[in-house]
Amino acid sequence: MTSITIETVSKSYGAMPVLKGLDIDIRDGEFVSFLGPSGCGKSTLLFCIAGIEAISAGRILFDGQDVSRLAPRDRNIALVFQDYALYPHMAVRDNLAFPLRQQKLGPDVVRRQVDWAAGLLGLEALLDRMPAELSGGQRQRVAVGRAIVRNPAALLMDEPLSNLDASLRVRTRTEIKRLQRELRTTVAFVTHDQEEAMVLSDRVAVMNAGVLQQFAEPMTIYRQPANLFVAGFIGSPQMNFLPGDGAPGGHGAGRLIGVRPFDLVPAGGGPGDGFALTGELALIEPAGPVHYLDVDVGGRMVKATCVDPSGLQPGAALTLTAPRHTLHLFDASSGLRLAS
Amino acid sequence: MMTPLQQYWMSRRNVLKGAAAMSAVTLAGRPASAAPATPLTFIGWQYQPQIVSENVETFKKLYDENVTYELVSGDYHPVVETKLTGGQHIDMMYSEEDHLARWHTADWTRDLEGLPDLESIKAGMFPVSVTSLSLPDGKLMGLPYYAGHNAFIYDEAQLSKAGVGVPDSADALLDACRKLKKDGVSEAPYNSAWGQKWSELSWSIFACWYAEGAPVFDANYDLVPDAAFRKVLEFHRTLYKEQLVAADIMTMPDEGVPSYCSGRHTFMVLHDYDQKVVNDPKLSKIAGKVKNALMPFKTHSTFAWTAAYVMGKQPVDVDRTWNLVRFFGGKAKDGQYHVIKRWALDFGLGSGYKEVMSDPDIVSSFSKWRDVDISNKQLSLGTSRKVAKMIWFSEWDLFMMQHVQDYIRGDGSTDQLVDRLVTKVADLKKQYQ
Amino acid sequence: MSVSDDIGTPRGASIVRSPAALRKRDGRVGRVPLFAYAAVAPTLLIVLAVVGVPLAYSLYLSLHRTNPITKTFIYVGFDNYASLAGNADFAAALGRTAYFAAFSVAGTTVLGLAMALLLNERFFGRGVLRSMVLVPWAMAPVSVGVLWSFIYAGNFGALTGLLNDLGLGGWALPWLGDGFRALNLVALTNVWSQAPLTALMLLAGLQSMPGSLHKAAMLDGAGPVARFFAITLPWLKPNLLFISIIATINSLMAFDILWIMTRGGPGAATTVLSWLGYLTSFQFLRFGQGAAILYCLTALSFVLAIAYFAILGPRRSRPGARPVPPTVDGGVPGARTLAPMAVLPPPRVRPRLPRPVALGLARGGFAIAVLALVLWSALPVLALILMSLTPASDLIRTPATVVPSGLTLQNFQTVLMPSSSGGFSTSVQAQRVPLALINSIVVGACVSLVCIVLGTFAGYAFARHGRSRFFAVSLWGLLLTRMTPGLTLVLPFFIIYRGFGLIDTRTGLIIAYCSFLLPLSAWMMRSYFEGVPVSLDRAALIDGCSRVRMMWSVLLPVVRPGVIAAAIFCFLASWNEFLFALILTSTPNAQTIPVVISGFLSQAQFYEYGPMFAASVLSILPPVLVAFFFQRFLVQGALSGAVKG
Repeated sequence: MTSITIETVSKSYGAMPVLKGLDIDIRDGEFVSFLGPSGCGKSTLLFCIAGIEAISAGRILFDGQDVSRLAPRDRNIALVFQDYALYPHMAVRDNLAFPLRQQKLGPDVVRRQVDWAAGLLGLEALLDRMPAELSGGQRQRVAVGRAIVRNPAALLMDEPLSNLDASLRVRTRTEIKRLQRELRTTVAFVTHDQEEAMVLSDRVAVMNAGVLQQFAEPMTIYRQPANLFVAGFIGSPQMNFLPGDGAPGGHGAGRLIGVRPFDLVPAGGGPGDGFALTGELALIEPAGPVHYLDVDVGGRMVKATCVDPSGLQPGAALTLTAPRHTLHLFDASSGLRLAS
Repeated sequence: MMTPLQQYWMSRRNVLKGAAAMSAVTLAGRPASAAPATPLTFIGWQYQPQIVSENVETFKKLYDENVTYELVSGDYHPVVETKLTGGQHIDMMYSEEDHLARWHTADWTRDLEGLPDLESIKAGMFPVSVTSLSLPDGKLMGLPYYAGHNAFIYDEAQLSKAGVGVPDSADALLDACRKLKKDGVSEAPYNSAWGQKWSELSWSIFACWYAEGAPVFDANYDLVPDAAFRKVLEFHRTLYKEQLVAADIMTMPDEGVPSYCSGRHTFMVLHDYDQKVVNDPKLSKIAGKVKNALMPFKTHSTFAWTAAYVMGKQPVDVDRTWNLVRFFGGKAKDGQYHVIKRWALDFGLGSGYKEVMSDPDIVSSFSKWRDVDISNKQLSLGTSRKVAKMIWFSEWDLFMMQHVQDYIRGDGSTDQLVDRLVTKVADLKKQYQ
Repeated sequence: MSVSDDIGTPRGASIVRSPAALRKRDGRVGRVPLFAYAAVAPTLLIVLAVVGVPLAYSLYLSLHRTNPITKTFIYVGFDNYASLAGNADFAAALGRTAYFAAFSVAGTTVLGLAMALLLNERFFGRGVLRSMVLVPWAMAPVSVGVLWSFIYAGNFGALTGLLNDLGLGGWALPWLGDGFRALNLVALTNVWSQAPLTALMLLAGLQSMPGSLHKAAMLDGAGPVARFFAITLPWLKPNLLFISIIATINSLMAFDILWIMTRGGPGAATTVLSWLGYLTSFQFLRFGQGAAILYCLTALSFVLAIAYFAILGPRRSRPGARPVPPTVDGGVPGARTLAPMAVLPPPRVRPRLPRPVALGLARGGFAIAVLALVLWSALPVLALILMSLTPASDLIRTPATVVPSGLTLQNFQTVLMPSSSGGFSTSVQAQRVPLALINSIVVGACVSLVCIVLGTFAGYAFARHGRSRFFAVSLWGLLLTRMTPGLTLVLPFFIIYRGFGLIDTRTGLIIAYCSFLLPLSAWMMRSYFEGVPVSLDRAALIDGCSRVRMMWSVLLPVVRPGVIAAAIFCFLASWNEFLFALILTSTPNAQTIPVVISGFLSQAQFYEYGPMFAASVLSILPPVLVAFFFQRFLVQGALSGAVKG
């Protein structure tokens, strides 16, 4: 239950910079995701917060205290590793008890705490199993259990869901969210899955190549991406980018227009907003609630959605339109968002 | 005299029931006739094999012969016995005198009786050598490779520094050592070969036993633990206890000779030919100062031995092999003692032949590093170790060395040791029945 | 769709070792393809024929009282064994053997573990150090014995010389003079020579440990010491098991070193069972009783191996245990009553040294440890090289010193070009050195080749079909042949070889060595293949490969590091073998280099140590070069599962 302040933190491996001047402040009890593609430094940042990696510049503060010099075990935080890192030769019970025993707590306290954590995560039946005998989802829960069993001030998670299959992943992330609400622990959650980040977090920090791109609430990021990268990264299917001078409504060269597929629909014949794209329909992809339309606009593939594809024929010409307020404008060279 | 053919048909028992057939080579032996297509096999141990090799070449040229010389690494006798047990065919091999009887009983070697010139050869040898080379029943088993004895040497310079005379009894020797140590002339005045090898502790302690007058074994080959026997044991123990010897004397390399050459000791009982090394200025720090004296014990006797060339049981060709044996162990067909003289001149190895030892070349060469008169006298007082002919002896010998080493280091009493040794003799006699 | 399967493995190694996962799917226990039998057949046949017959014969001998001198050959049943029970010499030798083995195994394990931990860290020069560390192991026991007996020699040995040069002459002792000290020193020499092997195996284990385990433990509050005992050691258990068995067998059977260094003395202080067996068999020619003594060693190895399995073996793993039914998976009940959360005291912040100081101390300590390791491994060998370059007369100077009066190549000249350097009595041996080197190379190369070809196929069959009874039994049978002391087999080998005319031939040696090394090679390859997923085989077969082609084109490239590791092991083992080479060869036609080296030792007069050391350096050069250049394959090969036992 602590706030984490990352103050102009940089880290380099030798000559290679990995984190560049990050400023992120996480409030007490907040669930923050570090989101970005592989290699953007999010796991490294997590390890820096934990103290496993040292930072080259800047400070990390817990509740205003500089912990940069503190050893990992003294920071009172827990980390759930991507590969769970369960101690293979200890039963689940001992895995859970391990951190408590390192703190030299009495056996009664240990037992109570283990039982509490096991109960919270539904592990009672598994306490005497060895990790090798557990399924992936069970192991994940044990890893989380081991992390929370000692009431850490903050809980760090390094892509804990990436090894689970799709349905399990969805269920587990709900559980994680619920757990965090109950315990009111500060959580820093690393993921490369933008949907996960959006669903779970109070705020999302989007990173790319060691640089913080945007740090805001999920819907803010969705609706007002700060730059090209964030716009392209958030939202699935990906936002369509069109050169500014090519689009009707003339926004000029050196700019890019971004429009999300969900906002781009076949022109209904009603009063347009002035923004329309015409192209040839290439593919209709049914996706349950909507259909995706792949349209070839001037040699560029653009994705749109529609609810009812009847009347649409692949190969036919199609006009798409989007409400003006859903358009995003970016400077083509810097990638930054321009006022729309 | 048996013809080769008769020898060939002589029955021989299998060494071990179930052993694979002996090599076909032996069965293919033919009576002697020219073509040395089949080589004679000659096995020797690791002493100057370069010289031996040259000697082999000389033999081959002189006699137009074909010989394979095999060099055994490691423990010579066990390795050869293993090969013989396994059925290897050997025509001529080295042997120390204590294995002569064993190998004969095992039917691996044959005696030399009846071969041409044997009587004159025997007559030319020192009696002690003849005894060494013969079986208890008098049959001669081999020709002499070299004859040696344990000699007693001292460092003249150190003695005069301490003002001590040459001791002539065990007690005098102990006192001399004590004085030398006390005066700081030498921290380990006495040295000898005490390692657990047949040529080290066994020989040196037998030398002392014979010198003190202990027969060690009687005519029935029972151990005789008389006063002289015990005195020698206690003598050794005292030396070690009072630190008059080097603390690692039992694991010294090379029979303790390099240690003596470094000058840290005064007295030594060593193989007589090693005195040549000790007096060699290139190899020894105290060259020229080392003199020999008679063994400083009651009877001044010593242990003398003769190493032998023996002939395999089924030689490829008896005549050819006899030539080989005579070339190495006696006079070649041109009447010269090629091999033996070379050993004597180059390495100081004495010979069992009277002729050789009185040869002026040899005498003058030997005189450079030892007092020939004294060593001749010593040899004439020497005792041959008859008990070594017993087939159980080498096992007893090893047992004895092990336990004597423990005893010297302080384990147990003299009586206990003697009892053990006596019992072991009885045990072994039974086992080898 | 089953949710209970472990889907894939995360980036990096799976930290939970579950061969169970693989075996669950491989249900074909009843149907073993002919190919598998054909794959193991050559190995089994060779071992059975070449080792089996002598083994049976020597067991047969052990039931008799034999003496070739008196021509006795009497059946006595188990009397030879029974009589050992009351034999005081035997009991004493047994005690010494136990002490020697305990010292050696403990020493190699602890030292090997320390070395592995050091080498697991990244630091400048790690690759060089890894090679250097392997050198003592690559040397033949004979060479090791020669080197150390000279180092420990009384007043002119190198150790005393070093102490003198450092001004610590007062510490000098007659090293091998005292019985108990001699036993300890020989055991220490054994540790010096064997620890690198342990280090290698444990290093492989350490490198396979996922880094996240340590990080997790670090976060959980475990300090380095706690992490070592709680995480590292349990992780290494399978490796420790394997290496303990090997180390125990090696130390129980140790013979070459004792033969060279102390010959069982002083007194009986270093007479262990193998020496006693040697004496009884070869000096007293009582082969039956000697064999009985030596088979006690086999029994001892076997019992200890079982004990190790009991203590260190995989415990209560229930592979294929039915997973918990997935019904409650994810069903964290919000409705369930939860146990109350305990109130934890705030974690104490332990007093710590300021970071720079702690870091400095750690770095300093590490540097010292690395330096110590370098000295331990390299110094004796450097001493050997120095001595080989020293004029011969220097070596027996007293007071001893290690500083040479000058360097010279004379010794090497004597050894390599004996005709041009007249006068040395060692030159007959010297003439044999180049020939012996050639013999060793030829024999080593052939043995390696045969062993890795046959061993790979056999290992594959054992890995894939290890459950079928035939394969399980024959695998253990192979291991058992490793527990037989060579001393018992020497005489039967000799007799049989004479019958076939194989004495003094390189072919004979190759056959003998193959029969010893095939089990080792098969075991190594088996462990390696167990790490290769079966799906690879299946993919190849589906793609239309015959089984042989599958092995050659698909599997072999995957197991290549393991094959190379096995090849190196076999080459080194055959290069260093001494006992059988001694007995089965007699002339330079076939004598290998350890035999020639031992010849030098027995024969060199003390003023001829120089050439002896030069020959020793030459004899260790090829194995050391091999170890040096291929060490990464050894680690990689061992790492990739060659030693999961």
